[in-house]
Amino acid sequence: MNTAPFACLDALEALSLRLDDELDGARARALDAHLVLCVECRAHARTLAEIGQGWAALRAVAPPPELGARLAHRAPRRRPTPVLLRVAAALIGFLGLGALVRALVAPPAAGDGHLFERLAVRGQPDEFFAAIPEYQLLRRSGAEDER
Amino acid sequence: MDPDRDLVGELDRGAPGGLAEAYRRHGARVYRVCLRLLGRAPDAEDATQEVFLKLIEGASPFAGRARFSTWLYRVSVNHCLHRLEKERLRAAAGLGEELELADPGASPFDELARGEARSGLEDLLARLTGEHRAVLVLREIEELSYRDIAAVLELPVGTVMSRLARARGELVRLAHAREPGHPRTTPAVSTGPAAS
Repeated sequence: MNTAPFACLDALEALSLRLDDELDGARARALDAHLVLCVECRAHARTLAEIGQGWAALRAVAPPPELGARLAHRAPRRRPTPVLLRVAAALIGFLGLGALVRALVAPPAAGDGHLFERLAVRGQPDEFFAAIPEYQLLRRSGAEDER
Repeated sequence: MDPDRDLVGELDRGAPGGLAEAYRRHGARVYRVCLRLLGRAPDAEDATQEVFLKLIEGASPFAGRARFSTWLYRVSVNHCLHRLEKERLRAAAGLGEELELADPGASPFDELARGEARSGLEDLLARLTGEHRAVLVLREIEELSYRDIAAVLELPVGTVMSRLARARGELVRLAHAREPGHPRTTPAVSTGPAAS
């Protein structure tokens, strides 16, 4: 059991714990012994008790009745993108990144130009997409499915 | 088990009633925390809406590591502290309004008429730092346990206890400072008691 005399700082902590019913017996006795001797800590304890009586009034508040309706009014404008759309966007981004990485990493085949040359193919849109290897794979598998 | 588990599911699915149900269950406590941290009803109303909108925006996703209500307290406290910090910086830069007076020309009677008159304790609370205010609001107004406060503020329980003691000490110091002729604001940090 710790019965060492309290310093004022210990007393302030102990007073705080006592307010919350968290002060054990030994520390409670040490605090009481300190309060008998220390006028400043007694004043502190008295003011703390007075302040404590004011909290109940601050608990008794309620939001204005129309706040829920105002929230509902604000909500639809800020609704997030539907999950399906987010998945589709992520998939497109992933495929595009894959194509880019592959084009950068793959060694140029005979007759193959640099990435920028391949991307800069002029002419029909189909020719532009044909420069992307994934597109060729997709077309090939589609043709096999048709057969 | 978390009593709000069903609510989390609804919010995740984006069910239309999810937000309304979340507000019905937790609106009052979020508003109360925002009001006591920010000090003014219009700010608290705005902050309450922002906190609930975060639920459907996914800006602060609920990871399920704590109870939903604990997590909602955390989002509310962090939102308000962030807002207070922004106000402080704006005021420090001389760009913002005077924080203590919403309308410098308004008399106390005007404030009474608007139902915004501050009690003595509200006034003291408004003079504390955000950190001290938050720990006192969670303990004294929301009546959370040390453990729950620690979970909300993401602090060790020991830190919550010492922060509460310091916040209460600061409240007492401010209360004494308002009393004319009070001999001392707070006990000195000494190794032994002063003579009575």
